Amino acid sequence: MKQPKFMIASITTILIMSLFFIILGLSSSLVFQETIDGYREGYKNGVVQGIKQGITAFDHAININMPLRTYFIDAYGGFQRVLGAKVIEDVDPSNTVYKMPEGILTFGYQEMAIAGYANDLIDFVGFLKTEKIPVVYLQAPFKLSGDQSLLPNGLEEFSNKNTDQMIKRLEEAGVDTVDLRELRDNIPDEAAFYRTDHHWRPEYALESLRLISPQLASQTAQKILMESDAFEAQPTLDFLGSQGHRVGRYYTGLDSFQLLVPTFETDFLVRKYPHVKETTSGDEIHTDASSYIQTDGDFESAIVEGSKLKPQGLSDRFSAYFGGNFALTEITNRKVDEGNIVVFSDSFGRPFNGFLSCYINQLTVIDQRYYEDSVREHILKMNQSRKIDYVIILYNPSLFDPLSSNSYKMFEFK
Amino acid sequence: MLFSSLTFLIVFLPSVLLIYYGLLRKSLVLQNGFLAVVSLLFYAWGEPVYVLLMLGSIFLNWLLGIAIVKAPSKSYKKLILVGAVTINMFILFVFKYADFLLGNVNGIFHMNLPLSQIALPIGISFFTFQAMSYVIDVYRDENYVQYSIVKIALYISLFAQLIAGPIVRYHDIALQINTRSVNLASFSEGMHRFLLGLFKKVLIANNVALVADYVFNQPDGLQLPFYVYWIGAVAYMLQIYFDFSGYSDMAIGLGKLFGFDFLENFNYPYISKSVSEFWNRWHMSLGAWFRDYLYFPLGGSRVKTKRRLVFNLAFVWLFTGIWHGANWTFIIWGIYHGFFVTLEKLFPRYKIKNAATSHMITLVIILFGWIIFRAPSVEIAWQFIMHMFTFASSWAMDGHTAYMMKSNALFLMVGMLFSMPLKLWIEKRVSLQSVYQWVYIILFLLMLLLTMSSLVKSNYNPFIYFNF
Repeated sequence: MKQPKFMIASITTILIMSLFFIILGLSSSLVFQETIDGYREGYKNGVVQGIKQGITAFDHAININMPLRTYFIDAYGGFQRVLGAKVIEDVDPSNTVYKMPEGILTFGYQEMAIAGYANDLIDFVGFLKTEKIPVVYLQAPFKLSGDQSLLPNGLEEFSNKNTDQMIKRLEEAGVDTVDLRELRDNIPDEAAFYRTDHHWRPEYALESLRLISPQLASQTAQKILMESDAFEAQPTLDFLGSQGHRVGRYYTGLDSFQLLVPTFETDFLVRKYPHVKETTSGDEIHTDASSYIQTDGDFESAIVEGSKLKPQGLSDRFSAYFGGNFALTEITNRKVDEGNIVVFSDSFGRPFNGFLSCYINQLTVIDQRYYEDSVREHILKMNQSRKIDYVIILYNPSLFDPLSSNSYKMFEFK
Repeated sequence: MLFSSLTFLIVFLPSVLLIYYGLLRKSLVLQNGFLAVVSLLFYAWGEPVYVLLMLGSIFLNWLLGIAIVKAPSKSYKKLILVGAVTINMFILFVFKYADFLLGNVNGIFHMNLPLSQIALPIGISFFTFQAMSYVIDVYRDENYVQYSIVKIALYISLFAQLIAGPIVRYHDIALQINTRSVNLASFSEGMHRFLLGLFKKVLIANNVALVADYVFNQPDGLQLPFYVYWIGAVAYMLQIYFDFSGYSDMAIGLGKLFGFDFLENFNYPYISKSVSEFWNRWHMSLGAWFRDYLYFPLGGSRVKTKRRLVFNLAFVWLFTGIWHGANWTFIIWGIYHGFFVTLEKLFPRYKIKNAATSHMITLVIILFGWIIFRAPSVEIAWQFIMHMFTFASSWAMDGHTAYMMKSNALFLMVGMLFSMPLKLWIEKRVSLQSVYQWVYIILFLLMLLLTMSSLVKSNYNPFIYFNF
């Protein structure tokens, strides 16, 4: 070989690969653990399946722990931007990102058969009514308000259509339903959703609480008075949301995040249970909820997870409310004596739940994706020890997609 | 395991190189054993059960090779050879063709014979043909016999070319198994070649595949403007070339990293001016295998009658089609190519003199061949071809189709350019300038960055030729 270009290019590559290999070796315990977990999961269906799932888990762990992963995704997004790509495909189709005007990103969902999920909801509402527990279904909005022309040429998205069907079915069955999409006209676009995240902004969540507060107040002894200056925004932080993380920071630029916190005095005790599952011990079946995270103090100490708000880095700011998803969250407000509400929600509900907890004594939040025990039994037990004033089911349209990770569990209500 | 996976690039390859050139650098015996073991691991990563089938194939063909040498007479040797070929073909038949045959019998005779539903082991056609190559080579020249099962395992299962070739004939590599050397220059050349193949696959094949898949996967009854079908067919033509030649580049490059020199598998097939020339430039290792082990034993072109020549060609091309898969589309594709090759052999005087015209005609023939090859059934292939000539529908593309075409136009153009010997053309003119060297290195590293970022984003498709 006469040309040095081969040698330089090849040696550089070897050095890069070796470096990655060494760095990856440092996180080998994580890769090993994920592989073992995959094997154990597959082993339930035999050794061969165990090996196959172990291999898949290993491949996945290598990708997730890839050194400089974020920077590679940034480079990928930047390249796609140069090419003018408006759709960034993902291995998981429900995570494919679409780019709308002004660089706003969104996921897109296909037309879904809603009937099954609607029936599950109606059945659970029936159960609550039998127990004389009032219930309301709050329909959170989807990022794309319905104007299909905002999507890249010719693509269609069905979230609002799916949502219309869900609401129609619930109303026909007599379920008290509030469609929070109706607030969209009163909230400026920049205060409604993030550009790079699928969640609503806290401002929208606060307006939603304000909308239904009279309804909640009518059911609880506690008055929910929401003055216009009850919450204030903290300084703006750079943010890259869930959709932005999938396409990198250079695809559409960074977002902004402002935490809303109450202006009045608060005092909470919060217990967050990562997993709640049924376990067996001998002949007895009981609920394992032994491990929990406890926080104590005012709103910013107990409800807000400070690590998500460090100015440096681009951590998941939206998780500043409660710090992430938990199977069960129990919030006691020591400044208020009345009000006992249960909310069923996923990550979408976190700011809403944070704001609601400021006005009632006891708030229980259940995320069925991680709650593997019987929620009905839990409700019954709670209601026996203290009357539940209200159950709120706060769901967003992405949950209607059965391919979206574990979303089907949100409708199990077992 | 895919070459274009992070597991291979960041874990498997560096660790294999480290051990091979670190711990085992002083012993070729240990290096061979190590390569054989990691090759089996490489295969087991995708086929944890069928790796046992491969081990069986290795053991069986090793045994049969020795049996041929030990056989007391020529007739016994021949008998063992026939047995070896039959057993290998039987394995291939059971795993690849049995259900196809049963399905056709059920269809023709209105029967309901149960199908085996056996999943196709990845790369079975490649490793079975390599195994047969060993036994046939031993029969032809007993000096090729290999008493070490490790060396046979290395030959059949070497991860570099295990899954999608090139098909390495035993006599081409026998010497290298026993003695080979690597220096910094050849190692660098291997790594460079491997990466070029990776770029072809990840940056071009995967992107033009989006257009091809979009057009070929249109639902029944929905018709796009006729020219979109032409674009879709061209996209597939580019996809299969960059996919397969990219894999071959990676395989040849990996071989060089360990001191093996595999023969070339592609030589710019789309510059061909005849179908025969195309097959001298496309999947050359398969063509060589069929030539050495099927066409020549049948008499090749040196036969007394044209009828016999036609028979030989028809036989070889039928097998070429069948080798690619258990579907009528592959069989018809093989016959289709055989038809044109036969015409060119029988009527050489009618060869078109104008180079541009013959090039265009050849490309069109190959294009229609790929449509048959790509379509899931003959009926769909026919419908696709009809759509290419149906001008009644609207000339305007719908929004989604227009978006698909526009967003991938760059890759289609780059694909078309680099399917021609553009790189060689540039290097002939500017290779001595140091500026070019640095521009090349910068572009190379940029492509490496884009490839890695694309892999981290997990945008990959499985290799097309894994199915064969």
